Amino acid sequence: MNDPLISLKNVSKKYRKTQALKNIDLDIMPSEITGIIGPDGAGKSTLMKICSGVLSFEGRAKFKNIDIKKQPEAIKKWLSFMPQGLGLNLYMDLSVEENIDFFAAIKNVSVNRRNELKEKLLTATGLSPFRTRYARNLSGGMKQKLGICCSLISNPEVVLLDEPSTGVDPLSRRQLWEILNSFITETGTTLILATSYMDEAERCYSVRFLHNGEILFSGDPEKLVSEYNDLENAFFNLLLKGEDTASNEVPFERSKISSDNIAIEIQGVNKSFGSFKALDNINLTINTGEIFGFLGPNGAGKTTLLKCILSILKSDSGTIKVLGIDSREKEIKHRIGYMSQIFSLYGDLTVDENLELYSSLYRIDKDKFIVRKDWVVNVAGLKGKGDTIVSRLPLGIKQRLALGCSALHLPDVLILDEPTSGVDPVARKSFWQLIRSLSQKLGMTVLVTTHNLVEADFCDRIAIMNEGKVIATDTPKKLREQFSESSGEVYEIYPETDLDKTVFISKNISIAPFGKRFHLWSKGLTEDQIQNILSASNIRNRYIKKIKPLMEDVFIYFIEKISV
Amino acid sequence: MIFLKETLNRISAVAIKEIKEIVRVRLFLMLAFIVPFIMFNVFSFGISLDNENMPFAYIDYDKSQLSAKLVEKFKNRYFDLKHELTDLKNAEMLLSSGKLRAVMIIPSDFSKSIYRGNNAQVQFLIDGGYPFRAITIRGYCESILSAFNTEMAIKKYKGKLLTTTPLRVETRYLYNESLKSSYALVPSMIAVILLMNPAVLTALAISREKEMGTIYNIYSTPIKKWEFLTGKIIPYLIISAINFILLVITVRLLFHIPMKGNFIDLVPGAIVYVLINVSIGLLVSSVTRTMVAAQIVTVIVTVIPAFLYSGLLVPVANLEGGAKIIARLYPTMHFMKIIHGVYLKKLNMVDLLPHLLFMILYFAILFTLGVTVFKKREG
Repeated sequence: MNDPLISLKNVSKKYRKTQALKNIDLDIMPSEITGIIGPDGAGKSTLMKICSGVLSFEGRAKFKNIDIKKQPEAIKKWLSFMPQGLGLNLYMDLSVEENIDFFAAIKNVSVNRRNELKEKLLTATGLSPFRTRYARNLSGGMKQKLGICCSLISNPEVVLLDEPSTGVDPLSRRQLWEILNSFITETGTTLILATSYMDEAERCYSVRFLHNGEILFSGDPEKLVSEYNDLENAFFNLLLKGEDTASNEVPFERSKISSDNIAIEIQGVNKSFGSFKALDNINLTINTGEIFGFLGPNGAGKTTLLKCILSILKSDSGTIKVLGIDSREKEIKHRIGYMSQIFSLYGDLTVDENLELYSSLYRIDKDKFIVRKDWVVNVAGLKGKGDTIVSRLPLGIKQRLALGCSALHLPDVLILDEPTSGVDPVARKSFWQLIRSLSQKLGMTVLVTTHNLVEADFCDRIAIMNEGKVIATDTPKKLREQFSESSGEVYEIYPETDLDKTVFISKNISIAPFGKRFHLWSKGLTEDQIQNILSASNIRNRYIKKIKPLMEDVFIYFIEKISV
Repeated sequence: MIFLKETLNRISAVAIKEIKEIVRVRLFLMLAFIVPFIMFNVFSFGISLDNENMPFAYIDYDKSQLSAKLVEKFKNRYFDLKHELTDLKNAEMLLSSGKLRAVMIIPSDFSKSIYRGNNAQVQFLIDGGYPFRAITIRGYCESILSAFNTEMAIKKYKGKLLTTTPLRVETRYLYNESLKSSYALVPSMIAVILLMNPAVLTALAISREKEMGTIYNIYSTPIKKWEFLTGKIIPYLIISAINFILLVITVRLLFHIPMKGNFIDLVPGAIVYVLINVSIGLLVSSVTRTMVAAQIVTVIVTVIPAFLYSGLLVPVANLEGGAKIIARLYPTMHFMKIIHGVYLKKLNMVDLLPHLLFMILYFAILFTLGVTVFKKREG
């Protein structure tokens, strides 16, 4: 066994009143992918910053044999740190290449080495054609890829990535992982990764579950998966043990609209911004009481479509009817609730003040408001915290409060744009329970956009969007079936020796890495076939099992199907 | 040797990156060049216009030929001679409402005293709401009286021997003989602009990295603090150098103000002065977290003292006690001395060396403080 590369002993960190980390002991082994997971505010970023030597702390921390506390500067030539936030470490007004060059220069990379590695990284990330494009004009996924190129250009021993894939679309996310996987196996780089995506946690060799500044679990994610079935489940069991204070009770009724059961009808809608076609002939029918999800990468047109439904944006052509009425009519606006992608509450106002503001905007009677306010405060878990300034609340709670505000006037249709972006699984689960109860108990039709494919299963029906088009619409179950019909069943294997992917690719079997495991699929593929291939190439394997296709694979399947 | 090369590499990487960003962001480019140019012109025109054609009235209790003659002297470009007033109350009212800047009161025994060869007294009421202007007006009045005196003296001398001067005058104006306040004030504005602009720009440059999150690149890489700060300073030094030259040209071509001394004697002072102000920006942005905060704090610590203590609005000579000490400790006063020295007094570098040395010391202290206060680690 090797010595740990980074070793923390009894590390604590306090920001004024909040204790971010409590007596953490942590060893990071070299050449591994270590995942730091946990809900918002668990202390993930704090831990990452301490390991990078950019934050002061109490306790002992060593990098190799260097004391991080005493000589923080001495460790910096060995590491790369990418802070949280989409493209936040990039210089927006520099081009792709200029960004990489800048990082190389301040990290003392010689020009020759830089050029060599730069070409490799640009090719691997698919950024080669965009080398003169300003970072400002890159998509979210491309920004993160560039951020990773900038982190890897110095060929560091340790790369610390703080939520690198939050807000990144599934395709880019998969590419990010491919780059990281291949780079790590090739160079033996140690990767420390903070994430709130559970599927990403499963790809790590080893994870640390952080909660309220303490490590609750430390080890191979495999252990958790075998014990709790999957990591999401493990998350709830480990961290919260059902202590969710928020309730999803709805203490009042709403007169449901009867008439016909079509809530929204979209016909032939187009929308262009200059030469960019944001929406390309959209046709959709959404039923009343349905939870309808729009899935797609950034820039697929999800937000644009929602804005057209809300008639915040005027479509170039086509018609949109909400509850049988043209969406541009004024009378319909009171029957729609909207929660925008950018945080829709006023951060400098208190919880109560925000609620009062929304109530007066929608002209809600005082006696009705009192009942509904109690309800929102309950579902957001904010009982007795009415005078808290909103900007100080954790993201997950803010989002529940924002949802409550947009549903305060009990609209027939509720439109939520990326409500769970950046929200951890626990908060996300309770958020979706709230949506579910609004739909079931009050009969609201709910439209949700998300780029987190795990959430597809929370919807009644979903529309997969890409490049302004709806490329598939159905229930999540049916979409999976379509995938399996044409691509075959998906199997998971867990090789214990190095695996050469080409042995499968050469037999036309699709293979995708998943941590130490791999997912395989191909039409008519059977367990025996896989076993034969593994034996023929002398690969020791722990197990083969049939799994439900990942929504990510389904998504990519539909996108590729359309582009062929 | 390799260390030196790496150091230079890192500094130039930061500087080049910074220059590219400035050039590519239109707002920043405007802040760097257009805003200071406009500000300079607005301030300077304001100052130079205000000190000419000032509304002026008089009360003549004497009503003699001689008093009329004195009044006649005030018909020049500095004063806009209004009608004659009759009572003092009215005069005070007009002064306080700002309709008049000054009132001259000629006593009833004015001509008598002069003919008798005694000292005659003339009273001036000057709007003191704006001290610098009041002083300028006093200066104008004194020189006009001085001219009047000389004239009277010559006349009198022709008759009999002069015992005393008919009117008392003490002030003599050297260096700015034409007594144009703009000759002193407009070049002073260079110091104000070169104070505010580099400081604000530099403060923005670092706080922007903090706000965007790119500062973590600096925190988490081996670049040294002073290397980063030096790289950050260079572009703003270049910008300020360009601005300095532009402003000197503007003073000459737009305001027609001559420079008696040599431009070269102004340069070292300007460079050190800009370095000081850039360091103020660095220092401020090291301790603030957002761009807005950095900007507000920078304006407070630069502009306000510049106006108050540099001798621009209130002459340093008029300051008292603590204010006088602060003024001397403040770099702007020293750079203004250099500007006045070169523009008005034809002084050279050697004459101005004490001021320059003081500013160099000032810069050394500020930059060291900046490097110390800037942390490559959070709380």
